[in-house]
Amino acid sequence: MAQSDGSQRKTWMALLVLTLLSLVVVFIVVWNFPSASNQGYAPEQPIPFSHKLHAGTYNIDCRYCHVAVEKSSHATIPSMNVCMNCHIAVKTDSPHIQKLTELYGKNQPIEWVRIHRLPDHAKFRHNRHVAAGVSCQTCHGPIQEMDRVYQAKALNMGWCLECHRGQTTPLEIRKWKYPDQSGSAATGTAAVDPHGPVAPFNCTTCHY
Amino acid sequence: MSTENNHEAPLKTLPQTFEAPRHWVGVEELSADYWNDSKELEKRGQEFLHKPIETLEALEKMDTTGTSRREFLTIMGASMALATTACVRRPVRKIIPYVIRPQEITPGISYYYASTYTDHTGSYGLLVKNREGRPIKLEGNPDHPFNRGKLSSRVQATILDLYDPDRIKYPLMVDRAAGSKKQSTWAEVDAKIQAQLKPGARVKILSQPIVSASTRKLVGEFLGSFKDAELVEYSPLNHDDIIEAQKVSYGAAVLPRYHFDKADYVLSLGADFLGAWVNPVEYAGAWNKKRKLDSKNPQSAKMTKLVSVESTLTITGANADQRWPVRAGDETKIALAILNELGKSSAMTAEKAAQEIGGAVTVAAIREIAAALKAHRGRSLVVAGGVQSQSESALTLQVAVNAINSALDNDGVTVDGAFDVMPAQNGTAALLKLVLEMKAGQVDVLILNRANLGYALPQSLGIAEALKKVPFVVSISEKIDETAGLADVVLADHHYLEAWGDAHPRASVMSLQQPAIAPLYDTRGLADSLITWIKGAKLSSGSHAAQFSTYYDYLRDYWKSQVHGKYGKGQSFEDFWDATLQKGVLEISGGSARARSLAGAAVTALVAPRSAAAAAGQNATLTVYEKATMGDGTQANNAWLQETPDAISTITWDNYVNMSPKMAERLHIGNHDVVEVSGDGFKFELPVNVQPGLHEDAISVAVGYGRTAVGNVGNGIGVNTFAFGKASANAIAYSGARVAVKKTGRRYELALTQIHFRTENRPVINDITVAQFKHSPKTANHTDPHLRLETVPTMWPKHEYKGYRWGMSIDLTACTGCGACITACQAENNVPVVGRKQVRLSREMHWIRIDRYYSGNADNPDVLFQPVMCQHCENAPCETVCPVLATVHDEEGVNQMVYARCVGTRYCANNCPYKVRRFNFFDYWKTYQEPMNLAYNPDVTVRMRGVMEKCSFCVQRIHEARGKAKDKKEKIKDGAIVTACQQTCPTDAIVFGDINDPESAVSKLHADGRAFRMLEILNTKPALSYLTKVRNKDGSTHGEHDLEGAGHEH
Repeated sequence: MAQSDGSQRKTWMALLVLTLLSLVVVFIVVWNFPSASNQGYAPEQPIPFSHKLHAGTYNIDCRYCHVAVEKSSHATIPSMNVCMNCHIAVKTDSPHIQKLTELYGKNQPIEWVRIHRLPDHAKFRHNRHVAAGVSCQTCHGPIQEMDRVYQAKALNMGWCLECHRGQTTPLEIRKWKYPDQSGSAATGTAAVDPHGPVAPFNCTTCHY
Repeated sequence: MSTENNHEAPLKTLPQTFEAPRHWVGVEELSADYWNDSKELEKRGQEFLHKPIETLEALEKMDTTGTSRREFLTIMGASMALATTACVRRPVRKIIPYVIRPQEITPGISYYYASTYTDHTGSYGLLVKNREGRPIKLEGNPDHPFNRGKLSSRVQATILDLYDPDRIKYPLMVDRAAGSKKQSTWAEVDAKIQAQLKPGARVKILSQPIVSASTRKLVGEFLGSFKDAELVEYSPLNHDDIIEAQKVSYGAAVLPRYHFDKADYVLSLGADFLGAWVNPVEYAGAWNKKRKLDSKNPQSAKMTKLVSVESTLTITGANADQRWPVRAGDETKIALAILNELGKSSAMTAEKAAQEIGGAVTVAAIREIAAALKAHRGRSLVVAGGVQSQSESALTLQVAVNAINSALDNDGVTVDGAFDVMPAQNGTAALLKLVLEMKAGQVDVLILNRANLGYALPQSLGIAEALKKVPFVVSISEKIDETAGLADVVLADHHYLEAWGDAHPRASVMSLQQPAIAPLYDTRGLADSLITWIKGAKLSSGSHAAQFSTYYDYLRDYWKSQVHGKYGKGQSFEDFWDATLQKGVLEISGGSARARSLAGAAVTALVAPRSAAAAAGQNATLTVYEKATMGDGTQANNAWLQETPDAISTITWDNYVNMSPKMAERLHIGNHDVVEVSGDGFKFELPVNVQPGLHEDAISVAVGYGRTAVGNVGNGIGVNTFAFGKASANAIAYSGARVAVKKTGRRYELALTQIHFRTENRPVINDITVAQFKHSPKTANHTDPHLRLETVPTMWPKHEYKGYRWGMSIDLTACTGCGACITACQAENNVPVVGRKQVRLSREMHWIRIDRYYSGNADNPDVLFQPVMCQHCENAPCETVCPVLATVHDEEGVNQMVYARCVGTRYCANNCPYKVRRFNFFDYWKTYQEPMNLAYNPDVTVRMRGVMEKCSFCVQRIHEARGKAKDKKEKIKDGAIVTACQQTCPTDAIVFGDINDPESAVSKLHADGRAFRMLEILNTKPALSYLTKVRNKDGSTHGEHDLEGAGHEH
């Protein structure tokens, strides 16, 4: 009996070690695996451009710089001549603006670090969302308060679909989509919180 | 009938009395054994290859990396493990904006440049689609009167040539004696060339035909300073026989314009005007104009009748309503016999012609053609030409054709040789003279402009020897080609999408060629070189050209001084230039066709061609023909073209000998058997394709193969048939040589695609005659009794389509099988190329295939084409079997394929009755070397290994149109969405639109009397319907049944 007890203990030990080992492996993999969403990602940029200052304090329209947002699938990062429209005269004593001016003079673009990125097989169209009344902040968060831009939302498929299905859609878009439920002061009807899908969720809406 | 038994009962219980299927793909299907033999059945019963994977691996090392699949998996596994542990954050990616954004470029939005492409098959107006500064797709310019927005397969594929990694990237110095080449600079080569350009030197330019009026003027200015200077324009696939005959018959050397849209009866004596002859895209469209049918009014149906007499089965022959196979050179005899019947010549009688030709050609047949021509006086058209009818009697043929057209009063109506003509080049005769001068040492400097003499000339001319006698040879080329080693300097040329230019291809049309991208490499074209040399060598004749710093300035000046004044209509030059550049084309009126007087002497001088004396063992006549995809071989390094199946043989990637079933039987050979063909001074070996519809004594081999220096893709494929031409004093005869064909006993497996993705003789295609159509447009449904069922019981819930429902219609009467849609789809949807080995394993990836069927007699069958892509079934069999919902139905009727979800079970492909799904067995995209990746369409995902794919109805184009409509707050208009295949189809056979809208073009076609759906009995309810093929014939397409019985036989 003693002998079999020993072998049983050995089996248990082996199992324990194996379990611990696999836990360690799972831990390493989980720890190291790149996050699918990258929410909160806030890399340092070559020039510390502040959206808080430009979009917040000075209240410059987003479309002044992101010119294609109403036309194209890309909002587009402004070309440097857009920066230079103002900074040829504004704050020329700042070392960052001097760096910008120097690069511009040498015809060298700034290499910004990309923050918001969808996988290649997901086709997002900025122009369609803007045309549907989705504000920049819906997906990009309180951008006018960000000194350094970070990824505010998950930007994964579930997050997209929640909005398309009407679950997390901002109220103004739902009202726009279902105007007859939005109530009217003239007829004295109360506003209903409308629900239901607000945008298509076919696979090929985004994947093709 | 066997056709209906196939899907009702297993194949094994076929009736004892064998009846061949009405539509077949190969001659083997005409024997009972094929359908009964258990081995054959088992082979075809295998959905997937039954070889063990290890055997396959041993056989098939991966083309791209040289690693086998399993090694590849191991490596991939290892790198995966590394990637997961090493990469803590996602890879940091950069966004690099423009410093100053060009006004016309908005990232994410495509923009178009109007341009022009010209080759030996005519001029094409283009709209070059650009994204972020790089051309990604070519579409025809709808304003161009030639191609009206349509393109051929070959022109579609030129976009890939731009990104060909084997292009020359800088000028080269060549040591001819040592055979070595080294990189050089433009300054260095210019200095070397200018030292040779001494006044009084004998300078010759040999160029591909120059359609640019301004370049022609510039060449004249350059050559003015030299002694015996001459510009020779030569294309290996030319129409010099037609031009020479025009001179003989009417006095002026021109290439006439043919009005196929004015002809009710067209006789083609070897001219493949729907595939490769003169201006195929224009002529296919024009020919189809008079073949439209109205099913609501079948009694008044009227179609152009196309009759073809040819020595190989071409696309034109395949679309002919009547066709007679002959040997190369026999077309001349037919033409003379017809002329005799018309009472204009006595060179050859119908009896003699029929006796000499044999086969299916009878006296009655010749008289029938002659009678029909007489009956269509002034409304008929006879054409001949192309390399396949350039035999030794080619000139006689063309003069006879002119005489027939004049005798029938067609000249001035269907043949316009007076106004809208292409000015003639000096061509073959001048080239042959030049070769003699070169051999005699009478040329000091020879400049070759895109003229690959080392490849595209007969061996017997001894061009390599001739070039050795020329002290200084300059070759301007895009490739280090067969001529590069024979020159002293090789100048890297632009691709046409990188260069300025203009074109004056016919009297009525001028167009501008606008670059769509800055040159990728350190290249320079002929015109810019000439300006540089004029200035560098201080040529006195070039004082005008010396004012300009670039050819662009010269071109603008030419248009300002020569064109603006005449056609400017009161605009300022800048406005005129901008307007023309934007439109891409300038149409010139001011003339009309009129009948010319025929030189009687030319007709009386006609003599019957001598029958070639056959030496012992010479058992066949060789026809050399041009393939619609491969052309003259310039684009042989284009993988898209190599992998596009030939319209007739459906073979990819190879050159082969076509041979009639009777000859194959006589020589005891079959498909893939290698034969040796030996003729007068040449000998070659190629595998055989048993080709129904050839004369019993004829074999045919395509040109454009056998390149040795074109690049990694095209080198060493097949045999160069240009080399076997026979040069006389002023012409080269490629076809008509007597040859001996011998079996070698070896086999070479051709990558044949028609046997892939078969529907096992299920009735999928319909064809009827005009007589049947008049009886009832629905007559077609006789092929499948079940098709007449109005409703089929269903177990599936009905789909509801509240908004749009996308659908397509394909007119089989209009489809010529040319294959332009395949290449257009490949360019639009990033369809990968898989290579010959993978095609042999039936792994080609084309989203659209063109099935070719024969019916009738194997010696001269009728041919049918059917483009097949995803049918977007309402009850899609693929959707129900996918375990991960990677393929699902959307609310607009599109069968969606989600690559990110697909795990590669391939159940969907297995369950698809149309066999339209394609599986990525490897990472085929890796075959694209840089910079070929620039040709990718950024709107379509590039698929990886292990993923299924198929036609998406160009969903990215649907989205684009939807976006535009939404911006205007309106519904998508009918015709606003044009799929890539539809966009390029020269005959408008494909129509796409909303089938929920009863007023849309596609809805009307779905309701047409000729409409049928593929395998409707399966209740898949495809969104794609076909219109039955109608042949302009009497009687019925299904054998001896009388018309009355046709619709009721079951």
